[in-house]
Amino acid sequence: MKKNTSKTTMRINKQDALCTPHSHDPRDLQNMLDGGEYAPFVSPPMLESNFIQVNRRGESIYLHNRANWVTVGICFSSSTHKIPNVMLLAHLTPGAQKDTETLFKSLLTSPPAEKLVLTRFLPLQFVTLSVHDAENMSLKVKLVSGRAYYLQLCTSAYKQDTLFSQWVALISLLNQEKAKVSKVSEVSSLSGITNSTDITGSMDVTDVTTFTAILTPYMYAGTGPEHVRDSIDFPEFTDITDITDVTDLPENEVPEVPDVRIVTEVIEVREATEVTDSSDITNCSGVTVVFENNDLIRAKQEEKEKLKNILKPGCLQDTKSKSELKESSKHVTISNITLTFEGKRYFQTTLTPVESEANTSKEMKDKTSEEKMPDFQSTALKAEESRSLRTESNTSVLSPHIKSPSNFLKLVPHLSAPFSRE
Amino acid sequence: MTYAYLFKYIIIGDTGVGKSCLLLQFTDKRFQPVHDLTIGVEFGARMVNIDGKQIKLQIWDTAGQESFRSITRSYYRGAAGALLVYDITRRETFNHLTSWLEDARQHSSSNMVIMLIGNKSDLESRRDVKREEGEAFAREHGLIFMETSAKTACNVEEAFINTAKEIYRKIQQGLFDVHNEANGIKIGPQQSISTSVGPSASQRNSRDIGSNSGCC
Repeated sequence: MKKNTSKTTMRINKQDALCTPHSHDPRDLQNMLDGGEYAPFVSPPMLESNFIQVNRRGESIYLHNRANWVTVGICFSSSTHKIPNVMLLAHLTPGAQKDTETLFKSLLTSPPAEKLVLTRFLPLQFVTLSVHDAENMSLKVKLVSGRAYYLQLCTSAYKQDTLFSQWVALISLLNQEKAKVSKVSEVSSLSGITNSTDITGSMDVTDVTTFTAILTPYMYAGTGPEHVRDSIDFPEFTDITDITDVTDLPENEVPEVPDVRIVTEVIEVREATEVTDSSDITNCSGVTVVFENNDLIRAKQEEKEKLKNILKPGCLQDTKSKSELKESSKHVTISNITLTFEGKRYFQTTLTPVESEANTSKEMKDKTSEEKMPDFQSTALKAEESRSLRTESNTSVLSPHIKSPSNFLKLVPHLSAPFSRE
Repeated sequence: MTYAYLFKYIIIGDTGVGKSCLLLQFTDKRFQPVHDLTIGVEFGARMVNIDGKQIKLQIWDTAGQESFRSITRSYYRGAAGALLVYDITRRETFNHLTSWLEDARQHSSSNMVIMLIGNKSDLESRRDVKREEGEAFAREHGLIFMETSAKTACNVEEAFINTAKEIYRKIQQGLFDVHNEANGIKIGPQQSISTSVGPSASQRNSRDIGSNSGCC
């Protein structure tokens, strides 16, 4: 979180420049909800901020020659929930599209007021929030569909650090809760209990208290204790007003689909090179499913280089160094879970003991082709029958399952955990 | 924001039937063949004019996937109108209508106006559900029926506006308690109620023309 001064200054300048044109209008999500048009959202957002949409590299995404602004609010769908369970997205639209006469008149008098409009309601159980780039204060919003968005916090320079730490705390809280729910789900599924769709009910009150304590300086002087806004600083939080839908991407731009690939690795015990006690080693064979992105690939290459240097053929291997390497690798091990990715890789990881890498791979391919057929046949039929929902470029990840919702959503609980580790 | 009433609509139906495309066509007058899977709710709004009254339609486009359904149900509450959509080229989306209808009736006001929509009428060569079947289903269950094409915009405007007309008719008949927001109707700011607006206003392509109506 610590940044050097020059970088901070640059960032602030950039953000200020982006924020300035829209700093007059104090409207915000809460005010809009207070208007009463969206009756179910009686609970005010516990945290809301303005963001601009950026790409993975942190560059602004421009839409209609201006930055893509979005107001994000986290709130409760009802007072019965103990932790927030909803993400609201709003953007500003020009006050009104007027006919020629009134437009001309308005141009002569005053610029049209912009109006905050609620565009999305996302149950948090279908969203994985994470910090994408702490230095640039950007978050990653990943939907269960696989779509990922990157949002850079945009607020007054002197408040951004505090505000961003609140987001970090909230994300941590939400992810903790997700982890708890995953555990509960695993137990439930093992014991044959039907999973509830409400994932927010099991949170300890103490957790909320902790989070509230973190946010205390920004508690809103409103009716709900969970509303995080500084009553004194309130107007200054709302200095960014030009927001467009986070989901809007320029038509020509390739969407930010996650480049997650799955590779399988057989962790094979090389007896010749191992000198440790065999009791531990014999238990660690199996297939590891690795979710890879560019960073991981790079990291893996580096590790391989290290391994090359360390593991000379015929040499005894230092167990400690190998275990350290293992620890540092970014692997997510999954077992007994059915995974579906990219439409062509569908396999079960209920794989057992040590076989040669080639044999295992072959077996997996066979399994894959056998098991995926029924699903994809029906999916293909559906896809042909119905108007296509996605272009090829968009279908690079998960698309067949999006077209075949039942397949896709069966997988969602399993996908959410590894994705959150990205 | 001047309007006489706000009507909350929900759009429901199987995944891929064109719910989001209908909304986009109605609010933005454009068709987007490639559309992301809807997760949660996407909102749209537009002003229309019914009998000289400015009505704001607040539209909740819901996720159609089966696995989202238990959550989607909670959005039905407080809707004055529902567009129940099926795809005329996919028989199964028609077969599931009963289930959607049961859900809608169970989780919303009994007075909710439901418009049954057979979408993708431009794909006549691939039609799998006859128009008469849609009409019969609607007749049997007391729904309004239209076939639409979000692609060509055929009947899209009419589907939304006719639903609003029916809601407005029910208000005039006293069937809706407009003071109970659980019915999906909200009275607009006081000054707008007495405002009379010309009928041409409904033809404007406007997502929200509240601020340019009535007061000049």
